[in-house]
Amino acid sequence: MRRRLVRCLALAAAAFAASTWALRTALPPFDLPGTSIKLEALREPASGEPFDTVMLGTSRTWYALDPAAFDAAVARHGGRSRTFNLGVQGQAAMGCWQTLARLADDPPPGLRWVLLDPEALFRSLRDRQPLSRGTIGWHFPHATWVLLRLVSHADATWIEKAEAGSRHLHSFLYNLLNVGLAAEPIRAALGAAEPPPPERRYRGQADDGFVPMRGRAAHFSPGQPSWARLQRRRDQLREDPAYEDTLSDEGREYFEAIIALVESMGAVPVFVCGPSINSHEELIDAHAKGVVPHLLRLDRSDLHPGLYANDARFDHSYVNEVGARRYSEALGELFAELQRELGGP
Amino acid sequence: MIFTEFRFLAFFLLVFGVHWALSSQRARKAWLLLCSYAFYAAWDGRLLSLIVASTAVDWVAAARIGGSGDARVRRRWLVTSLVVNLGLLATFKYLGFFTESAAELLRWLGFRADLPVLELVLPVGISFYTFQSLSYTLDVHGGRLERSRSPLDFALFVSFFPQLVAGPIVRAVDFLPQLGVRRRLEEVRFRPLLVLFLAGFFKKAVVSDNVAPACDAFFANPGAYDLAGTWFHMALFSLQLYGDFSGYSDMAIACAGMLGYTLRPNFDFPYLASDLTDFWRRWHMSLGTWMRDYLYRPLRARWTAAWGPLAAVVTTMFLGGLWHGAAWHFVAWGLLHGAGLVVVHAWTRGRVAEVGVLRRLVGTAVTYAFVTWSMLFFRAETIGDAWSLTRRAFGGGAPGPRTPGWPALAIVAGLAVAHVLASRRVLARAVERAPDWAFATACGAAFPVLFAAMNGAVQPFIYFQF
Repeated sequence: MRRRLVRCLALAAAAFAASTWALRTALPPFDLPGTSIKLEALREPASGEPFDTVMLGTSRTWYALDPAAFDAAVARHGGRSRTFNLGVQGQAAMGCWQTLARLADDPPPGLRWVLLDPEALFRSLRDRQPLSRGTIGWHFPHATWVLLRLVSHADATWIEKAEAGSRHLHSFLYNLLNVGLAAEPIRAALGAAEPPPPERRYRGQADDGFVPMRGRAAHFSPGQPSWARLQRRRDQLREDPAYEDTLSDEGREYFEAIIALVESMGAVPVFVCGPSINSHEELIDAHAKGVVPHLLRLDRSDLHPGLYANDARFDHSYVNEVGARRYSEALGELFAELQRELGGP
Repeated sequence: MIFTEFRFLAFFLLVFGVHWALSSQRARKAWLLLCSYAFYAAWDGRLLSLIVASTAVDWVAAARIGGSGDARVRRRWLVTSLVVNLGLLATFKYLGFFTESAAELLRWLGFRADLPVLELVLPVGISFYTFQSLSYTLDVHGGRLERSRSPLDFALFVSFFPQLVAGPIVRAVDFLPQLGVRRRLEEVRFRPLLVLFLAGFFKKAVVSDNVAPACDAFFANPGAYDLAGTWFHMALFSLQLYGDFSGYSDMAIACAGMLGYTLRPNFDFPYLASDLTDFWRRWHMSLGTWMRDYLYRPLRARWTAAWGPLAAVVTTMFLGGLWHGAAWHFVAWGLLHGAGLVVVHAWTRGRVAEVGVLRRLVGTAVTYAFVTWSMLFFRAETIGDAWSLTRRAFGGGAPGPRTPGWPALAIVAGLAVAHVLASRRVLARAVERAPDWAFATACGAAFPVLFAAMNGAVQPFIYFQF
């Protein structure tokens, strides 16, 4: 009886693994909306020369980096680049890691520079979006392992840690077992799925991945602190000694993994602190400790007041079209300097 | 914690392993009670106190009823149990509805009415466990059941986690005797239980959850659909509701079975019913029989005039509608079914006769169409919305451009064929005959397919709100 049971369980487990593996190879991978379209546009440019520079980040990067303005600014300051904006909604630190891994599987020919704005490495234990596709998407073994250790070292109660840890493990299992990957076609057949957004939304008008936030400047209600005041408060926090030595072992591991991936493509990793209210203290500390060799900072309102002026903002999160131009030009100038330091474009 | 979530699967494996590892029946019951409370606390630990209060009151009430020969004392304790249970239900589920309805009525009569409305959290499954616990005191009072001597048994009966939050509603007379018997793992027939769990998972996570977005899109903007699209989406909602609730019931019955306890089936292919009476013998059977035994029959016994049986049916269905939700559209849904049952009763004159194949097919089609149409009142936000959808379904209003595509029709047709085959036990027979190795391989391979096809964003069960 017992031997028969063990044999059946072994058979079921083998069938489970084989079925999971077969589905994994047959179904498309998890994808933050737009990632695949953007990767294809990067690998096969619609016109002109191949892209040699790419910048990854969240939607803050997507709406902020105008490759045309950036490349022009680089050229004005003696450098050279042809840039693609690979900013994707929800593609924060871990999402960038996954996208870089996909990029490294089939790197575009001629890629020389990878710029990356990871924003906060680890946001909050209370980030309750365990089942969003975005969260599931970046759960692969290495990232999950790093995150679980970050959770275990967080300044929180054990219940909060257990909750956060189980959410990540849950999402990891979702990813491992292909949960929901075949459901989209079923829902589409039933007429339920949202029509796919036009490809142009992701590729951008110039096929360089950039889409500007059009139309309006920020509006701050009388009781709300202005963007510049928020930014100054963050600058003050940065000077607090508690903000030194923020790089954790897991953060170090993350940055080293990213750098290794970029270098495996024969490119140079360049990290960026964008003009957002999200903190970048681990990244800044990683640069100070030599883990991150190249860091371009636009996160100081006293040094770059134009990026923090209300006329440059769409809202607290995003720059508008004016802000995007200023950001791209400022970043282009810093990037050209870096190219010079490293011995030319 | 939803049955289709991985954390439930992990929870159940833990419960299952420890349960069968314990040798004493008392320890097993204590373990199951602890797990049941933990399962409920996963939603909201504070609301656990309601179950505990309901359990304590009914335990004491039944003990007093069973221990006394004085009819007045027995009646007093029965009333106490009714007041406490129905009072909890009325407070948490119906207070806001009744207050708002009273305010609207006063306004309609020309009075100024700003009645205070309490925003109370609706405890998950309160209608299920209240009815379950109440049936125990009613049965003890009616002499159909001996009072239980074990508070542990009674507490487990009220809170047994597989059916705690969305049924099936279990009767004490069925469940309490099972708690006195120590089961052996070898006695459990895992094969049909595993298939039942897989079938329930398929109905809920693959069918109901994937159909839900199409239904939501339709009900948000019905004007975008033509006549065929309107009826197609009404049929989709019937699939969603059936898949959601019968899927949950299947998984509940399977989980209970794997722990050694038998729960009665809750659905018996209701969309193949030949008339509305037959439908209610097949749909949410545990609620149907509860209402028959504790509402319809007492009312019928009391109302002896010629109109008595029909009035009892309509009253029962009115309360059945209200049980589903504190809103007038649920009441309207219940009354529609009450009226339908009256018509069927008048048509058949209460006789159950053998009918030919053609008449049966027509009966099934008409019954399904009626049930599907009535579900507009179940799903719509207001009676006005349901009525406007009804007008669209019968050709009123300008038709929209959206019509169901062939892939959608093929999916629904495939599900209908599968439903008919399942009703004829085609799969069940194949499962019974399959050798062990084939069954184990098929089960192992089926789970990943279901995971891949399920809606990744877990949807709560519709019946949790009841």
